[in-house]
Amino acid sequence: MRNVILSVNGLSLNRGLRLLFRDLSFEVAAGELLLLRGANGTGKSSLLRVLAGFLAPASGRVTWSEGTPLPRYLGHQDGLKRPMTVRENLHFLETLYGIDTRANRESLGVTPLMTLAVGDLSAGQRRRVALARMVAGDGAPWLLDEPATSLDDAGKAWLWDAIAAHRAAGGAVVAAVHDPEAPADARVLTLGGTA
Amino acid sequence: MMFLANPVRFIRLADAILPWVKWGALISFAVALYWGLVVAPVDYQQGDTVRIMFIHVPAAVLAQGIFVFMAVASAVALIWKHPLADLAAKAAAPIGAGLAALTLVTGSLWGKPMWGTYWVWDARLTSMLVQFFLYLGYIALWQAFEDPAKAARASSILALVGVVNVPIIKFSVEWWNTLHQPSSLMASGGPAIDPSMLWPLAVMALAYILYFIWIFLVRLKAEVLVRRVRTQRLRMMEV
Amino acid sequence: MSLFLALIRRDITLAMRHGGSGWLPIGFFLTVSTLFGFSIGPDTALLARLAPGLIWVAALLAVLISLERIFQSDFEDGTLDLLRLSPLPLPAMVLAKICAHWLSTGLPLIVATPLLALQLNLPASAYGWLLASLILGTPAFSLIGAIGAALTVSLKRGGLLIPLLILPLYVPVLIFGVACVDASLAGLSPWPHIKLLGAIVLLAAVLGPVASVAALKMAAE
Repeated sequence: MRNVILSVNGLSLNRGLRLLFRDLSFEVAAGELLLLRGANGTGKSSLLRVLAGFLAPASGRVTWSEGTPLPRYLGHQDGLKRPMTVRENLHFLETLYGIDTRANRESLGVTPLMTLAVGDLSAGQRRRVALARMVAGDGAPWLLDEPATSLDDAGKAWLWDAIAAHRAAGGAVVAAVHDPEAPADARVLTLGGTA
Repeated sequence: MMFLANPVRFIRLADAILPWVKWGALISFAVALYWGLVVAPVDYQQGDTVRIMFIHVPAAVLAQGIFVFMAVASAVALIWKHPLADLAAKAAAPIGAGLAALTLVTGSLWGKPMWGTYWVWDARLTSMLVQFFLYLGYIALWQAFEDPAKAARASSILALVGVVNVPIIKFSVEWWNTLHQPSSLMASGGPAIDPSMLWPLAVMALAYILYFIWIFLVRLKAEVLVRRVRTQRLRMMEV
Repeated sequence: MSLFLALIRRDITLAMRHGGSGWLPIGFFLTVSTLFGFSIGPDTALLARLAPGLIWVAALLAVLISLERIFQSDFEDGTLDLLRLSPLPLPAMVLAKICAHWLSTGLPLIVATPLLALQLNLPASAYGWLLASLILGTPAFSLIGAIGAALTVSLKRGGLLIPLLILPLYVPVLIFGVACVDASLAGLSPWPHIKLLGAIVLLAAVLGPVASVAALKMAAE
C-alpha cells in the first residue's frame, strides 16, 4: 500500500525571465526516494525550495499529508555559523529540531572536529558536519540539493547509507543528485524543457 | 478592480481618459493661476506673497494624499495580489515626491518674506520633509532590486509601514514644535484663509488632482508596457 | 520558549565573536560624541544644553550602523532556511534576533551613556531620565531598524539603503526621547514623553516583527 505523503499538482514556476517548469505533477510516498535529474539551470534547486515552502509557485499546489513533520532541507549552503564551533552549531541544531546527532557524528567522523570553528574546516568537513543533522527515522521528509558536493567517496557512501536508513524507517527523500550511484528502486523525475 | 487587471483593457481605458484629464488639468491650472495670482484680493498683512499659497497648499495636500493612495495600492497588491496595484503605487511615487519637493520650496519662499529665513523648522514643513524622505526611500527600494517581483513586494511592505508611521511622525513633529516654539505665528500654521480665496484654491486643487491623474496614467501605462515586454520575452523562451 | 532563548543566546554569541557587539557600538558612540565636541567647541554650557539631543543622535547612529547584520549572515549561510523549518514560528524567530541585537548593541550603549553625559556636561539630575528614555528608545530602534535590515538583506549594498528607509521612522522616537530629558531639565514632568515612547515601543514590537517576516520571506524567494 502506497502511503502518499507529498502530492504536487500542476506546478509552474518562473525565475526572473525563465520558465523553469510548467504543469508539473507527481507524488511521493513514505519510504520512497525521488531523484531530480536535469542539466544545470533546469529548476531542481527551485523545485526543492518550493517543496520546502521557501518559494511560491506561479501556479499549482504542493500538499503534504496530515501530520507530516516539517521537512529537513539541505541546500547548497551548509547552514552552519562559521564563527561558532562544530559542537556549538550541532548543539543549537539539536535544540532547534529536537534531534540527537551523536550517532551521525560518530559515523561521519565529525567527533574529532567538535572543538574547531566551522570557519576553519575544509569544504568537505563542513559538508559532513552539515549532514550530521540529517538523523534517519524521525519521519520528516528529506529535501536534499546536491548533498554530495565536496564529499569524498567515504562521505558519499555514508550519504547513501543514511538515505537508505531513513527510507527504511519510513521517511521520504527528494534529492537532486548528479551522482550516478543511486539505488535501483529510486524513482526519477527529469526536469528540463517543458514538463 | 479586477476588471482593470487585464493590461490591454487598462491601456485602452487609460487612453480614453487621458486627453480629458490632460486638457482638464491644463485648463484648470490656467483658470486657477489667473484667478489666484491676478484676480483674488491681496492679504493686507502679507501682500502679494500670500499668493504662493495657491501653489503651496494643494501641493501639500496632494503630497500627503498620494502617499496614502500608494499605501492602499500596496495593500491591494500584497493582499489580493492584483497585478497592477504595485505598479500603480510605483507610478504615483515620483509625482508625490515632486509635489512634496514643491511644497517645501514654495513653503520656504513663503517663509522668507514672512519670517526672515528660508527654513524655520515649523511643524508642517518639517513633517513634509520627513514625508519627502519616505518617498525617496520608497523609490530607492524599487530601484535597488534586480528582480521586479521582489522590488514590488519590498516596496509594498515599506509603503504600508510608512503609512502607519506618517500620523505618528506628524504628531511627534507637532509635539516637538510646540515644545520649542511656544507661541508664534509659525505655530498657528499660517494666516487664515479669506473666503474669497477659497474658490481659486478649490479650482487649483482640482487642477492638481487632474494633473496627478494625467501623469499617473501616463506613467502607469509605461510600467504596464514594460512588464508586458518582459512577459512576451518569457513566452518566447518557452518555445 | 527554550528555542526562543537558545536563538537569543546563539545570536549574542555570534555578535561577540564577530566584534559587532559590546565594544564596537560603545566605541562608535564615544567617537561620535567626541566629534560633536570638536565641531561645537568646548563651551561646556552650550554642550550641556545640547547634550540630550547629541547623546540621542549618537545612540541612534550607533544602532543604525549595526542593523545590517541582524539577518544578513543567516541569510547568506543558509541558517535562515533552517530556522524557518523549525517549530519556532517566524515572528518569534525575528523577535528573538531583535532581542539579541538589542542586548548586544542597545544595552552596551545604555551602559556607556553616563560616560557621554559626563563628556558633554549633562547636569546630574538628568542622568536618570536619560537612561530611562534610552531604555525605551533603543529597543524601539532595534525593532524598527529590523524592518530596514530585512527589506535589504538580499541586496549587495543594502546597508547604504537602510538609513534612508529607517530614519524617517526613527524621528518620533528621537523626538520623544530627547523631549523626556529636556523636560526633566526644565523642571517639567517627563512622564507624558515616556508614555508616548512606551506606546511607540509597543507598536514597534508588533509592526517590526510582522513587517520583517514579510520582508524575509520575500528575500528568500
